[in-house]
Amino acid sequence: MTTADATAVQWPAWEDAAFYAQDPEPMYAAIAAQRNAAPVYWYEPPGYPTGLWILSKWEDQRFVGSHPELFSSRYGFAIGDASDPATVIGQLPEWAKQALGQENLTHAERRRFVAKGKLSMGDPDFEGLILSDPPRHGDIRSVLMKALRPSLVRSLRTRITEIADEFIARVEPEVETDFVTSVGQIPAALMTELTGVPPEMRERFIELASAQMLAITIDPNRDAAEVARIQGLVEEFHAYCNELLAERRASGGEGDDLASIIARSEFQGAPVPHGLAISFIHTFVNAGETTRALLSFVAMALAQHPDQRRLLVEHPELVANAIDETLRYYPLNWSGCRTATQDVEIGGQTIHKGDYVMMVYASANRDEDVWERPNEFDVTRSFDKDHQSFGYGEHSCPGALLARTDSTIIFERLLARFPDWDLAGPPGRWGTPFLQGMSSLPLRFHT
Amino acid sequence: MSTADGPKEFEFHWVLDCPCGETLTGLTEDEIVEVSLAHLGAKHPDMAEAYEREHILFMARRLIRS
Repeated sequence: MTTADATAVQWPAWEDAAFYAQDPEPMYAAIAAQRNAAPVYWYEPPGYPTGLWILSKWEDQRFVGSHPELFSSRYGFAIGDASDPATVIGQLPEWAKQALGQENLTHAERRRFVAKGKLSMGDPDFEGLILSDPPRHGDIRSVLMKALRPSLVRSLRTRITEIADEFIARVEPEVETDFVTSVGQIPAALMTELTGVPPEMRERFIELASAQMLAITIDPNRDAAEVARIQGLVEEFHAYCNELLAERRASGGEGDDLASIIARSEFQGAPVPHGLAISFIHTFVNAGETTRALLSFVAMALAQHPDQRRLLVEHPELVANAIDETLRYYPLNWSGCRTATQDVEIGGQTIHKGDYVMMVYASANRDEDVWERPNEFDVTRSFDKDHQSFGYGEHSCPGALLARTDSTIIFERLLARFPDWDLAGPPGRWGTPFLQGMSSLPLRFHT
Repeated sequence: MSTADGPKEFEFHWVLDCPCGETLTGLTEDEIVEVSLAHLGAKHPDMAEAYEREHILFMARRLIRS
């Protein structure tokens, strides 16, 4: 561990889930200390086979995001993908174990097998948008965007409002309510319905999808029992996605649900390959889970900042802005990684071909060169420059519009019903070195 | 930000961050589409045909004006 200066603010242990689990204040102090002292920094995580570059500044991350020809997404997307394969091999499927057994693999190739292995759920033909580069990435993304097109999202406004009102009606005033498992369920309920999961399966499907979120981050420090628990749930999730897709393909994909749209879509002139189609289904379902996390952070931030909540009650037109401010303040994705395709100079440092680069979104979102009063939660903040929480460029989050739309409608409805709420107990967060969410958020709502 | 001074009106605009790094703005949906198509034609002519109104509105966000 390196320290910034004699005042000994410890710099972040980027690979360690415990670093992200601490209180936000010391965590952001550590991130700021490194950002100000070494904005482009070579970090060597203990036990990793090689180091990686940490990019802390908004401007540098924008450069990487807008140059996919210089920074590839094929060779890993999260810090854990760079773990020593020997330490995570037990979390990978057979095909990935065999691939990693080959001789003379580069660090980048090992990262690709680890990253693809954890996402694949055993299927070697699995192909995720997140691990692809242009021009293929553009072709894959265009299929996904046809399913999640803006006109569809707009047409869903009425249905989102209905579901939101249904869930909010179940919340009793003055009674302790866990937001995560009540109002927080709305996006998952919506996404399972949109995807085409039958009503009787939806609750179980949401549970399985939550486990899949944990599987996205590979972590050498995860204990064996937890690995086994996650693997069991993820296998069930994957099997069900396979079944759903097979059913839609067999019926010609005639329905309006997203699984049907994918079943009848074409990719490069042929039906969408199975490994790709299944990754789309995962993406739809994961969107429900990440939006649940976003909603929970909004609810928590508004409980912690009653003045800001009152402002939203007076000015509901600010709710969309409040969603973006929460994304900046409490990012769901801590970071995203790329691999340099050639030598590139950033911030006076030479990043060599093959080097792994981590863009710390949580740092860019508090970059003093971009944000005034970066540590203040302000729902009236102007976003002339966007936060990094949905990423940037080709790989920006394909579900961003739907997430923003869901969240805005839900909080407009919630604030109209309950203009006031406060914390009824300590909130629970879950976190990995890649993603975070909330496991519980006890609130008491007031009319 | 305080409401102590009484009710405050907020002005909004549409913002689109082009992956090339340029930030595009428009006061209305029509304006952001027009500005974005003009930007595509001038700076990314090879991609201009790939983007329609829907794609642009998908990427644009309605936010507070500074």
